[in-house]
Amino acid sequence: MKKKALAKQYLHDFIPFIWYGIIVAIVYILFALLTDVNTASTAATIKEDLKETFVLSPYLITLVTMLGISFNYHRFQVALQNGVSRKTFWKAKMLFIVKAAFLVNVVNVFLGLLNVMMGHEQTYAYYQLFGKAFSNMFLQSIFMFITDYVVLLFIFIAMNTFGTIASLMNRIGKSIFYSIGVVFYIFFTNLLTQYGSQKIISKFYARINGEAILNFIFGVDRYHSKPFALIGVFIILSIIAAGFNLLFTRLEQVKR
Amino acid sequence: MQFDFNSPEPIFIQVATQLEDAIFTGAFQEGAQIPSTTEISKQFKINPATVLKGMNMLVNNELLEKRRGRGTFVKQGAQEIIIKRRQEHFYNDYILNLINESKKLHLSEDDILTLVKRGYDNEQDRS
Amino acid sequence: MSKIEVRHLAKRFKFSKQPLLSEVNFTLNENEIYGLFGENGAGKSTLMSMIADYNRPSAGEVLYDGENVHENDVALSEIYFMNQDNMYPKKDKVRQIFAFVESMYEDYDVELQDKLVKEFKLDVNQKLNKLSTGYQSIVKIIISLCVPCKFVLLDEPTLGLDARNREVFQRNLIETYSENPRTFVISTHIIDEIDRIISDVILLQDGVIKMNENLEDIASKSYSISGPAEDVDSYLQGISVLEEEQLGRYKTVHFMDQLPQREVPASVDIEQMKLQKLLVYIMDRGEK
Repeated sequence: MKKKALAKQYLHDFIPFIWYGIIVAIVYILFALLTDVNTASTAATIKEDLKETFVLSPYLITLVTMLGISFNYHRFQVALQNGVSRKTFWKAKMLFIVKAAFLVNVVNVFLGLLNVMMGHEQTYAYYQLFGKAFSNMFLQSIFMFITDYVVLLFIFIAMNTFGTIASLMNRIGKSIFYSIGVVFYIFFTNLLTQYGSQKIISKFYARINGEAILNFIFGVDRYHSKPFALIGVFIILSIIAAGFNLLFTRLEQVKR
Repeated sequence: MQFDFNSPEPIFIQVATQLEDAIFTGAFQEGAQIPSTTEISKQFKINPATVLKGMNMLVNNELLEKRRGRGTFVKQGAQEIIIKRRQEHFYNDYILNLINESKKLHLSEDDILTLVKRGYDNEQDRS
Repeated sequence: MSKIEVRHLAKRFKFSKQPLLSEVNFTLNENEIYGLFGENGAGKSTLMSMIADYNRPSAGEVLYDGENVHENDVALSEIYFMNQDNMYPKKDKVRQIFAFVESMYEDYDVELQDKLVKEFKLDVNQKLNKLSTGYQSIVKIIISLCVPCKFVLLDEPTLGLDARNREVFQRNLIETYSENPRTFVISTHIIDEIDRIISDVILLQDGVIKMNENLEDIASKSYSISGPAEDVDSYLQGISVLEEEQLGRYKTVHFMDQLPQREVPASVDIEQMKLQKLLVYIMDRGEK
């Protein structure tokens, strides 16, 4: 009973983040269009720009809602104040994330479909990988939804786990934690964008036969790739992330 | 009712004394219901268990009776019992104190008797 | 009858020389009202937070009916700790917060809640963070009086409340306690306010329980005696004194013991010591 009530409360507190995400997406698109107005542009290019920026809106919403998922301490406070164990709190949290990911996914898939209808099939990751998985449009949509959902679920659980770890630390610990995060981010973006490092990566990738491994995991092959393996992999990853989440949730304490 | 929480007596005895006074003066009539433990403890911010203890003292002294499911009532003849007991205690409570104080004030036995006489005369004049 | 046993509890913070709590032992019985007292920083809040499993002790354990409370859903649902922080979503309306707590507890007392809202004159359509400090406390007080828990721990419940609302709180505490007895543990610095409501006194000092006694027992052995110095001294021979004040030859002695069996000299006044005074004297003596 307490588990469900808590999950409901968390969802109630989380829903504004979906709106924030939508607002951010709209603002982003408007900005892109505004820059168009400044340069001499035709109606055709504006339309093209709208399409291009629109592609990004699901990603923006995911980004903002990820932030909302990661704030963990207030949820912990509410749970403890109402007399539950950390484990029950964790269950409530997972239930909440399952629901929250569903809600966000509905919005994202809707936007994704709009995007496809606008003729941008290639920009949608699912279509890139599994565009020809099912000939039946209905099945295709269902699997598109499920695939996106499990990926989002994993991202959410992972983000919440990071949030949980962060809430274990005091101010100094937190700043170190975040600085490490930023350093890693810079390191990896550097790695991916610098020509030299790209070469190293692709060499390494070729040596371990990375493409084959990834293709195996994601169930991609050139002729009839199906998303089942990918779904399975992300469900397993989600379960692992949830396990880590429990591990850290058990350590949480009410700060004074 | 008034409670003096600086008095050396435990609070439950003060509760009992206050209730007894109320019966004695007729504020609580014989046969009438008295306020419940909760009402008294709420009004004077006293722990209900303390109030109950005070009330039980009066129940044991045959001044109050509990009627199952209806509340606590002043027993018939309660006032009479109080008067009798207070008469018995009059010597200890008042006369001994009077003598004690009069010694400190250097008043002789005759002085006291005169004063008592004067008190009674004044009382008569007034009525 | 349920009870909470605190056994060899200790709390040590990193980077601090002395432990905050070194060895705390006591038992909370059902249907009593405990006053938890101690100086600022004595560790009252920390102690309560460990009972409610908000924080982990460095050593020792808290048992609810013989079972450790840590990660124990059964025990924790019977222990409600109103701490000084605000634990509820600040942006929610009070009405929403109440509805949420109601959904968390099966026998949450909605009737009492409505009554308290009226008596405290609380605006339930206001958002929590828009309320004054006093009213934020009132929201917490209302919840803690309405939850169906056997043990309710209140840390400075009346902090920031005005005189009228403090009165409303005390009246309703007694009323709900008489109608539906359960255990309250109240920590406060305003001892005078609750010294008739509580049934037991727990005094926390120097990391241990200095006093854990029934209020009536304490009352029957804490006195202030005043009069001419020599009369007071001869009457109180052999009794260990807590504190004494002298004004010329007029002396007042405060002590914690039975009254001597000797006859009371006529010149001597006996008064029962107020709890607040007694505790202050004990705390002072502990420091010397």
